[in-house]
Amino acid sequence: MFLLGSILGALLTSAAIAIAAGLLSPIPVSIRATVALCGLALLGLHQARVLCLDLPQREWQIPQETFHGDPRRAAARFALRLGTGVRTYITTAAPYGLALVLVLAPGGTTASALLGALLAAVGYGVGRSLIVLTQPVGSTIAVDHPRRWLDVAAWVSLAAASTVAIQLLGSA
Amino acid sequence: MSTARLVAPEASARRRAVHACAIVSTVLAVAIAGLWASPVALLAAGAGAGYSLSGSV
Repeated sequence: MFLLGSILGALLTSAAIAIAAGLLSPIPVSIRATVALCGLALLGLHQARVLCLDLPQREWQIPQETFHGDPRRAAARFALRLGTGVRTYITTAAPYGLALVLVLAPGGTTASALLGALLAAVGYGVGRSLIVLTQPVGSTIAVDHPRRWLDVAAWVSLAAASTVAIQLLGSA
Repeated sequence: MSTARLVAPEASARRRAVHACAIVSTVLAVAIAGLWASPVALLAAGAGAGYSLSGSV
């Protein structure tokens, strides 16, 4: 339930991003890909703590009411809100990089853009659920993973997003 | 105790070097996979972004 809720939440956000990408599609690919790469470079500097960008985010936590009622439904509701990425604190630059690439550098065709948005949403949902999915493996309950793992994940995400923009720039 | 103190900095430096190598090789692997196929990169970008927010509610 948690995984499904998380993926569904991510799909909602990626659908909204795909619409925004469609509205920006008249702009030449080379310009969009270049802007995306510049944005990713700035986000990389932010992630490396060289720059401190004032990135938009919702600055309060998911309300307690989410956990009321049936535990399965509560888990799904909580996961849905986590999955959207717009109802929680955003502590790394990676989600912004992902959104930037999906908005500015989607695939060349509508089908590839939608596939990209779908895959990114599924990846985001799985990644967001990983801490819950790995609970049975550990001997103790962990609500957080070591900070350096999260940093590595953010860098991997930014690198992957950059390759998408580079690939699009190369094909332009 | 003194032995532990003598060995610890070396071991720590080795651990940091291994950690740095692991990060660089992971990032390079993802970058190469991403250049090979955008869908793979987007899946990795999504998973990395989602996991990087673990603990943030």
